[in-house]
Amino acid sequence: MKQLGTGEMIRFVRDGFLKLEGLLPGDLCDAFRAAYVADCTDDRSGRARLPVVPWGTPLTDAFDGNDVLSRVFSLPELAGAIHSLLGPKCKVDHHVMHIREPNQGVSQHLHCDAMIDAREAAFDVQIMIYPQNMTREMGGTLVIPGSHTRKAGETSIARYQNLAGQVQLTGPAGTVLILHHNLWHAGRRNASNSVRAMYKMRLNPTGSQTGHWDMSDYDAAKARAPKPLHSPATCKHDVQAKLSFFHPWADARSAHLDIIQRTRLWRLLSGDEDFSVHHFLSRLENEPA
Amino acid sequence: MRQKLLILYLQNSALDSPVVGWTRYDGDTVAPPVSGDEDEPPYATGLDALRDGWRAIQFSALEPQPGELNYQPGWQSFEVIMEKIVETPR
Repeated sequence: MKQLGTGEMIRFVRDGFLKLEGLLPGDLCDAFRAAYVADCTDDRSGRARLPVVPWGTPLTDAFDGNDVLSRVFSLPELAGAIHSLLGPKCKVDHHVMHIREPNQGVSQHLHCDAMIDAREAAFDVQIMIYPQNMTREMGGTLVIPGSHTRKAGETSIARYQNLAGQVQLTGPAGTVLILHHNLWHAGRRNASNSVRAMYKMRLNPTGSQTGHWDMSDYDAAKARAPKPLHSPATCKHDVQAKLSFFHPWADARSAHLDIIQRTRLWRLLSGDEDFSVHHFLSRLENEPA
Repeated sequence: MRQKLLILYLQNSALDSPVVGWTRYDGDTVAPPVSGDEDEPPYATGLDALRDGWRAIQFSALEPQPGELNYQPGWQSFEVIMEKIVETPR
């Protein structure tokens, strides 16, 4: 498998998602569409095609070895990304197919999947797979970069129609999104003449999520070294500078709190409990006896 | 008469701060509202909308948000609901 590198992990912690463009090769996209999309006209018919996988099934046991989905989840880049974020032996939560007919006028409301998640650190990931070319007109998934730090339940955020910096998924067939489970997202309206299909699987960790990525180029001491705001990078991956980013949709009050939450997530993934983005969290932890 | 609503989310509590999110509901059309199709806000600031004839009818309250003392960010903190009344028959 091919684990994520430090730069990709920083992007995941900052944005709450990774996009792997055209990851599935053409023959696998063809096989995927033939097995699970062809002749499906709505969500119900699409979902009826999928194999039944009870929640709690180890991902490695979820599919028959000949199943297209087994080939998909064996791709080294996808298997490595899942391993990097969840650790070994992750389990299936659920999987589902979304089919959108052409020329629809209706979009989904912005939402998080499932109820408010009170876990402090552990997180699930959602894998979204698009087996056909995705143009903007086709209305692929809308995601709000960085919103994974804002705990919300279901469609409680539905009133937000447009947020600055929002991303409308486009890409070649075989593109994959990997989402933190709490990322705000919505299916946009399909204004094209083509059917749009998206397969989604949610996966749960079963153990520590610390240190499973390729840390060969990560220097923890340099990454955590105190540095002033806006100062030049002191190591290859300037984690502090990249995680202190303000997403354009975030109001100033909450944008600072996002940095605290990203710091906590980086501590979980790197195992470095002394890491702080600048002095934002370490300052708040200073309670001298 | 029908009501058109423009909901703006601002960078801070000042009406002249930048718009970071926006939502429209139009009582004068039967077309459904759409999420995520617009790249640019309709106005640079909330004050610009006021100057274009939108009437502010509600601001979010200025008070601590639940969870804030545990450093949990909320959602959009600074919401302004604005209206225009149109008399055109549907």
